[in-house]
Amino acid sequence: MGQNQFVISIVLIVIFTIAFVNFGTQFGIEQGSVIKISDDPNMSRLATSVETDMGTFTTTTNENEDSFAKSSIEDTSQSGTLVTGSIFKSTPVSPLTSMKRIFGAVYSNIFGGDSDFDIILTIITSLVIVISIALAWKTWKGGNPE
Amino acid sequence: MGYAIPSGNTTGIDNMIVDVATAVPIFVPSLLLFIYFTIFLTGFRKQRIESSTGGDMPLWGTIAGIVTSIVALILSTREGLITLPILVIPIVITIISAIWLFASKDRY
Repeated sequence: MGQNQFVISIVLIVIFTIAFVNFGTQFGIEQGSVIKISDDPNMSRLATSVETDMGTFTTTTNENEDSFAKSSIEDTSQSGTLVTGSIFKSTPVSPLTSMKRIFGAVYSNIFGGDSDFDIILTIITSLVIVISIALAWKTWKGGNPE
Repeated sequence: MGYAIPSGNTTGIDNMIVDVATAVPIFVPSLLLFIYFTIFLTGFRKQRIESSTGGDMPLWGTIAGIVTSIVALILSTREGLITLPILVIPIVITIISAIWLFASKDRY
C-alpha cells in the first residue's frame, strides 16, 4: 500500500465513522427514540473529537500546501530537475480553488447547505490537495509516494 | 370477518414482542446476531461460489453491520426491546468492518 492509498484509506474510514455515528444520532433525535446513541458518552465524544481532528487535518494540509508552493530544489547541475518547479506549484493551487467552488455549489444546491455536510466536503477537498501535492512531488523530484 | 386477536395483547402487536424480550432478555441480541450472520454468510458464500477470486469478507461484514445497526436503531424506538450497550455494539462492529474494508490492500 503506497502513501496515497494509505491516506485515502484513513480519510475514508474517518468520513464513514462521522457519517455513520451522526446518522445513528440523528435517527434517535428525529424519531424520538427511547434509547439514543447520544446517551452513550463514548459515541457522542467520538463524533465531535473526530470532526475536530479532521479540522486539524485541513489546517495542516493548507499549511503544507503553502510550504510546498514556496519550496525549491537545490541545483546540482546533474539531476536535470527544475529548480523552482513552478509548473507543479501552479497545478495544486489554481485548480483546487475551482474544486472548492464546485464543492460549494454541491454543498448549497444538493445538500441544502446543511452544516452537517460541511466537514465531509472540507475533508474531501483536503484529501484532493494531499494527493495533488504527493503526485506533483513524485513527478518533480522523482520520489515514489504511491 | 376480523382476525382473532391474541388475548392479553390487544394494545398493539409490538407488546407481544416486548413481552418476549422481557421474559427472555437474550431474544433481541440473538435476533441481531442472526441477522448479521445470515447476511454475512449468505453474501460471502454466494460471491465465493460465483467469483474466481473468492468472497470479499470485509465488504460483506460491513454490509451486514450496516443492516444490523439499522434494525437495532428501529428497535430502539420502543421501550423495553433493546438496551444501550446492545444498540452501540452493532455500530462499533460496523466501524471496525469499515476499517478493514477501506484498509484492504487489494482494494485500490
